[in-house]
Amino acid sequence: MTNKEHESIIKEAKEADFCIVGAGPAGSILAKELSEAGYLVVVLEAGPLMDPQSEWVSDELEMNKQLAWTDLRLIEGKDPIKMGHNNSGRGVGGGTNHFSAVSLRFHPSDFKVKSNEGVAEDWPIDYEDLEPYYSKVEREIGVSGPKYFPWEPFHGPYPLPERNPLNAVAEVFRLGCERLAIRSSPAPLAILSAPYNDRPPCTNRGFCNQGCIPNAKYSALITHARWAADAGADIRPNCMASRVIVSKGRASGVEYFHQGQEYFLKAKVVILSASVVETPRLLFNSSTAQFPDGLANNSGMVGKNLMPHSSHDVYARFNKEIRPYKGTPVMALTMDFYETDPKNGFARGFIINSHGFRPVSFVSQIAGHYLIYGEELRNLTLDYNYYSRITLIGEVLPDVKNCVTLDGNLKDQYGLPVPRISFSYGPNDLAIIDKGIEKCKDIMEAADGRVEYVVADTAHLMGTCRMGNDPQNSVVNEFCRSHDIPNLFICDTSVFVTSTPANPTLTLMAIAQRTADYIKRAAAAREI
Amino acid sequence: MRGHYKEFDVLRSFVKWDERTQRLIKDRMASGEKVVFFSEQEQELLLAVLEVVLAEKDEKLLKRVAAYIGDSLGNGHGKGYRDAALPDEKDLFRKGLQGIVDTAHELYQGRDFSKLTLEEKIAVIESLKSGQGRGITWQSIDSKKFFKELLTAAVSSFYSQPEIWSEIGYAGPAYPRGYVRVELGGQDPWEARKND
Repeated sequence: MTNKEHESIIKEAKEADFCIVGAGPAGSILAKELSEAGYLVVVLEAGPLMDPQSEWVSDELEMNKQLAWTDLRLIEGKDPIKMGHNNSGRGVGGGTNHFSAVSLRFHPSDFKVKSNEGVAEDWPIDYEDLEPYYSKVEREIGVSGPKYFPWEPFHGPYPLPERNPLNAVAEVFRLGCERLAIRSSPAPLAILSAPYNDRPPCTNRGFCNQGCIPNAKYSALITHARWAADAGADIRPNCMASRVIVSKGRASGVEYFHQGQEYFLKAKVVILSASVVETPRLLFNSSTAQFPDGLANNSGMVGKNLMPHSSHDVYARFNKEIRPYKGTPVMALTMDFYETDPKNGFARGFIINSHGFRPVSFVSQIAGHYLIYGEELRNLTLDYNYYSRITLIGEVLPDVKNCVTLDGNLKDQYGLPVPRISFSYGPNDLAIIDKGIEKCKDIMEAADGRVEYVVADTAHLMGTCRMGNDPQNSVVNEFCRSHDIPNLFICDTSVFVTSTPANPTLTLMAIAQRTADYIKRAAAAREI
Repeated sequence: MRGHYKEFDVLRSFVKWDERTQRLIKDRMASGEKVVFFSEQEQELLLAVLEVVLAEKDEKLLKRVAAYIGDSLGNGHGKGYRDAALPDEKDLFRKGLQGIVDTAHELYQGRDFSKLTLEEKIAVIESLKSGQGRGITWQSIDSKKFFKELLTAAVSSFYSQPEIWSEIGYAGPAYPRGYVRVELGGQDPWEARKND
């Protein structure tokens, strides 16, 4: 879109009822719900609006770049977090364009870690608060899952049957589990096992992390963002929010860049859904005399308690072909080690996923971790088809020292300070990783695999604007409403209080649905 | 040809791929014709280093990898993060290549990297990999971190080449047809068949 076209759109739009920053899963749900309720919604998305069928390709190298947030971030700490394609999406759809689509509900214990274990913090909500929204989201996006999911609190049924057949990577994982009397199950996935809402079932091509071309995998791009646009939401791609403007203690709109020019969008309510790095960065960049340490930061908690999941990959070589490139990357999992086990000597736990892989991720992980090169590298990769992989998702406890801040010198292409992301594991996190790797090795060996490589990695990002009842130590309330600025909301995984051992997207979507309901109620009652 | 799949050529499936992917792979295979970002001397050195790091003699493959690295640096489209202790990627690669020159000179009485024997070249790489790279460049840059950046960029490109997919028995792009036999022991007719 040219600047001229953009300007004419802006003139027509006047003041938005809601300006949402970020068209990922949460921003898209809010846009859909609020525009369907009749409000004028504008979504500012830093990245492009892509068409999977005509713009995406079947290639790791190309898509890992195309779907990732590639603006510079500086990483530091004892365990610096690999960013980019690993955890950061760009464009309408956000991270869901390249996520693995594992769709788990949190457990009741996740919300009460401090009460139960004396570590971290409790959430201001319970499982029961999210339960109806989990059900709604699962139906909307078409989650496929087993007839009976073995773990509390939700045994199913899922809207669609489980994926069948499972791939070889999942089969050997489940065989290892079975021989050790560990329960395993096909994973609940936001990937279709049958036609649903004009979307076809999965063809097992295996490129979930490179963008699903057939639309079998849910993404916000092909669901909520489209439904929002159908309901009249104005979704503006290639619009990078630079500053939330406040006056007299209330947000009045958002400044943003489009094709090198700066614009201002006036809005009655501002909702930030820009995720764990960009949301706090925007709050910091919006500082004023009244809010010198960033907006919504009277608690000092903005940018703090950054949490990835520990996500170590365990590779084993088998004496038969696995062909790890086929099928959805994650097809089976165990949650037997999810809850605190007093015998362990640490709080909380982990899950283990079967986890397929294509050559670029396989070789760059192993070469990058072990610095293997030359003949040794070429020889090991000849056996690519004989490897299988299982992967940990380990809970990481919140720690205020792990944080997002702004760099004092470096600026990005918009002239905005570049974020610095500092992370180091704590003792409890490391104990979970040790135990998790031990279990992964046991499972691989029980399945007759020979464990060859264990590669340290992380997945997902949470925290940096956590929710809570106490304005002294949290940024937003249970409905994602800022404690300090009444018409500013934050709705992305930055509001997560703890990381839990579960993939976060389904829970984020349930939180977004709950927030949308609250906003509709509050707006109708003129309380915003 | 070495490995388990001597008969396999992933490009036999080329016509089954979607058009955009066909074009991408065709362009990738032709990408080694141009030198991007690097000076002539840098390019020559980079190719000599890649030959050792990837244990590959075929210059057309090495040139594609060099072109990928050069293109990533030259078009300013980064990978989205960098170690706060490292200079920006362009600087890192320029200085890192100079560092390899320095290390070779230090270890082998002023001889250039490309003039060394394979064993000597490996000794230079090992020096980098140890994090104790010899030479003045490595006083300000951690040679191990540079080597990791170089290696991961190189393998990401190298293992995206159809010739290498064929070597390791990877069936490549799979849109629109996908896979039917995904279970243990299952195999679609167009996938790589093991040597007899």
